Amino acid sequence: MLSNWIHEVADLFLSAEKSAALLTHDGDLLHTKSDLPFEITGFKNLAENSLKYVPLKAGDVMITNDSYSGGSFLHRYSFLMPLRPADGAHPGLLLCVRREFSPGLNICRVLDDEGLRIPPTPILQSGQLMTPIIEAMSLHPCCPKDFKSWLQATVSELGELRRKWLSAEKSCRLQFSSAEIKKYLQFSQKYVTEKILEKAQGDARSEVRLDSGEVLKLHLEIHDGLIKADFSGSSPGFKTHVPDVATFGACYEALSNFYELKMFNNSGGFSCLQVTKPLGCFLNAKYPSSTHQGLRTGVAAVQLAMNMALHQIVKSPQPLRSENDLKIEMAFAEGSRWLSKWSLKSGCEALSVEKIESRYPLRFLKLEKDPEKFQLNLEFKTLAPCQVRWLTDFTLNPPRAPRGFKAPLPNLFERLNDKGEWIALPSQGSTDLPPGTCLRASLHGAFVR
Amino acid sequence: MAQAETDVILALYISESFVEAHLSHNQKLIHFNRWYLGKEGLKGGLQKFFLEAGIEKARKAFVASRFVEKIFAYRLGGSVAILTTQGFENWSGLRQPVQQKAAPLSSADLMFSLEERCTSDGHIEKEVSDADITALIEKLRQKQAKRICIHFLNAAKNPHNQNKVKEALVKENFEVFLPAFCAEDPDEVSAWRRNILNASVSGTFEEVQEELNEGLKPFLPEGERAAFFSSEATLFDREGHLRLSSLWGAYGAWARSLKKQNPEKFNILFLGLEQFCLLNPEKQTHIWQSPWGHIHMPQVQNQPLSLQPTTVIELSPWGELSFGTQDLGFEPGPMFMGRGQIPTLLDLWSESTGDIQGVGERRSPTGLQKFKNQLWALNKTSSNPIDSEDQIVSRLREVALRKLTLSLAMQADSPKIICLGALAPVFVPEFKKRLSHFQFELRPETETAFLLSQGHEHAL
Repeated sequence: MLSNWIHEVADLFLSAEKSAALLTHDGDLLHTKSDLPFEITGFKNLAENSLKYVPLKAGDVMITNDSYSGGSFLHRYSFLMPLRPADGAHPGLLLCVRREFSPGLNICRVLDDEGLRIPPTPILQSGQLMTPIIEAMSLHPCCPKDFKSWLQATVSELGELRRKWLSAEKSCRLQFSSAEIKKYLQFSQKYVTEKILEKAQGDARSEVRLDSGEVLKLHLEIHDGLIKADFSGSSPGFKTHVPDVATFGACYEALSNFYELKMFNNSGGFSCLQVTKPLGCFLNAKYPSSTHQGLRTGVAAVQLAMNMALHQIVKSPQPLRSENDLKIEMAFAEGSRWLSKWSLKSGCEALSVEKIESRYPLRFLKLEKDPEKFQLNLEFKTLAPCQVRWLTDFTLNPPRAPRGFKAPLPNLFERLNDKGEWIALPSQGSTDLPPGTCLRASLHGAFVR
Repeated sequence: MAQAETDVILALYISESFVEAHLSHNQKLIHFNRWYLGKEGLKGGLQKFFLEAGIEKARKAFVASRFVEKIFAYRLGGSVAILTTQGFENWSGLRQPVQQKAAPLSSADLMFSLEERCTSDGHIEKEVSDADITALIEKLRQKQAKRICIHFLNAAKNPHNQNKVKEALVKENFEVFLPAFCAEDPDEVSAWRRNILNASVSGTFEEVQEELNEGLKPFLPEGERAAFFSSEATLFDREGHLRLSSLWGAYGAWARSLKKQNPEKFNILFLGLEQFCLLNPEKQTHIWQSPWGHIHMPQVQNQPLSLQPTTVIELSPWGELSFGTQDLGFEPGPMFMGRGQIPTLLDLWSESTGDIQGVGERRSPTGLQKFKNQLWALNKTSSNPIDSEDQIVSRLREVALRKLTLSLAMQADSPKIICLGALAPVFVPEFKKRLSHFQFELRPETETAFLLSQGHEHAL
């Protein structure tokens, strides 16, 4: 059979999920995907950390959103479910699905203030929902509204996914032996190595200074098809803290985009990357540091540093993107919250002007995009008193562009004053706004050649 | 054959490259044929079909079509201009999914805007001025725009500005398209995309309709025109806003017709010459994930299988002979039909296509040999070459069947699967062997028979 049969099976099985992984009980990632690609490498840590403390049987479900256990933002919940137990030469298979619920812009000092943090916790065992645990979660002051019913619905959907797997297993050969898995992962590793070898080898340095004071220093080496990212010299975290797995994930995302390795998002592919981070630096965050800002701007800084170094070593026609976004959250008096869903990378696909205007006291005035400059401009007006929070980065010290490139303008969040002048706001903050305030967001995303 | 004119009904299934025609009398088959559009046009083919059937008159003609899909392959837009609220000129384009990399739905030269604004509660904050409308008409004329889509923000809440502009444009003989808003999906861009697509396919759709009606003129009663199935199995003719939904017209008609005959739950497996897909007649899906982003389009739940009849055979990134992601279609089609240059899935089963009308007679020994040679050459460059030609074919068949059965096993949500389509007799016996816990029912009727039974209902 085809060497990539495992890929074919997993790809089809996970086709409806945005963020998910299929892995073995031994911790081998067979296939991963995510709408936030820096998350893909974390599934392994998530399974290892969880199963260390909570043994699960086939069909049981465990939940966690802990960014230090391989998770991501607190509003992205990971569900781990063994699909089948180990059986002779066949290692057991695990499914991990990550879903988002009630996202927000939660910038705090410690992780537990960001929202409800759930360490690896079983919620379905032997077909029984762990109702007291779910009740306890829903009583937590930080628990989002309607969380309980969402959780129950998700568990039921996971059961349906397992049913689908077992149905397919009856007729299609889905029991992969350890030898087949080893061969598949070795093949993936070989392919990724060859892809890297096809292009120039060498080394480069890049540096990114974050507005919150952290300095990221990267020494990237590409030799013999192996990529080593060394972040020695990077500073400790002041406000930006990136968990270990997210740093690795951000580095791999940059590589995957650069070398077009999306089909090889598995343990084999990941083994071509080595990441070194000094203890205590902001890319090696430790609990209880808050990770929300780190997962937004810290991850963007890692990707930017990687992109800049890669473009120094390898001449590529691909655009050099800044990876930096501008997130805005508006909270209104009646309790409603609107979180911006735009980015230069993923566009404005989920943003409906009419939906937003009918749900929130906001009015859009202008929406423009310059695709050549990767530039997005949005103007909008508040129609009721509200509190606005925002976060972007790289505004105080624009990154030093590699030779032949010009760095993009920094992202700007501006407010129109009484004299009709646009006043730039700092890169992050929070303020109360009266009705009738006009705001302008300008995102600049690419280095120009 | 002399049949009572009033009882004869015609059903047509027009896909991208083939036409299937089916004449029935009192719901009994009189004549069926399938022809390749690349060889025989719609009008000529119809006349020949009626001649072969010996039928002079039919009462009604019902059409399910997928030819709109063909238009998507080309750059859309044509002479369609988009008129928006000022400041939102590029809004539809901005919302296009970044990953899909589809060409924009509208041409940048044909984007216009007017200073107008309606708020979300339906208050007209800025009324569109007559002077602006006059200036706009001038610009539209200069650009030779013929069809205009009006996309004003919150127009569903208060269409005052929209209607004012529409009236002025219609007066000047422009064809105006307005978005159909729906409460279930109040996303303006979803409605706008659907509107642009309806406007974009409009010209070609009308041309095909004209050719079809011209071809049917001698056989239908005076003034009678062919009726098209929409995605909800209703019928339409000149209603521009339903043209896009014709893409799923056959699914709706098959689902309704088969549901009447089968009280228990089942899936429909359609194995047509141009498409393999699985339908769930019990479920409706409301969103179409188009290459330009989501569009509200209620339709019977349908999922394409992981391989299609004309999926290309190529070397995978793993260096092995396998199937790619590209679905070539029938222009030029599989290699065994003589014109194709790239091996496809159907080439592997070329010897089973002898009895399939529209294909069997077009098999070319030269094409078949070319296919074998090309497969051999590909095999030689693969990471794991095989020694014999026959083994290459049987190995690739095995890969295809595994992929298809996996796709079926994971997508089917009922143990009973009713199978339709020209290629069903070729593949269903294999599926039966491999998926023993599913109950496959291979229907002897052609898929057009189920269009007819739906048509009969409408005709009554």
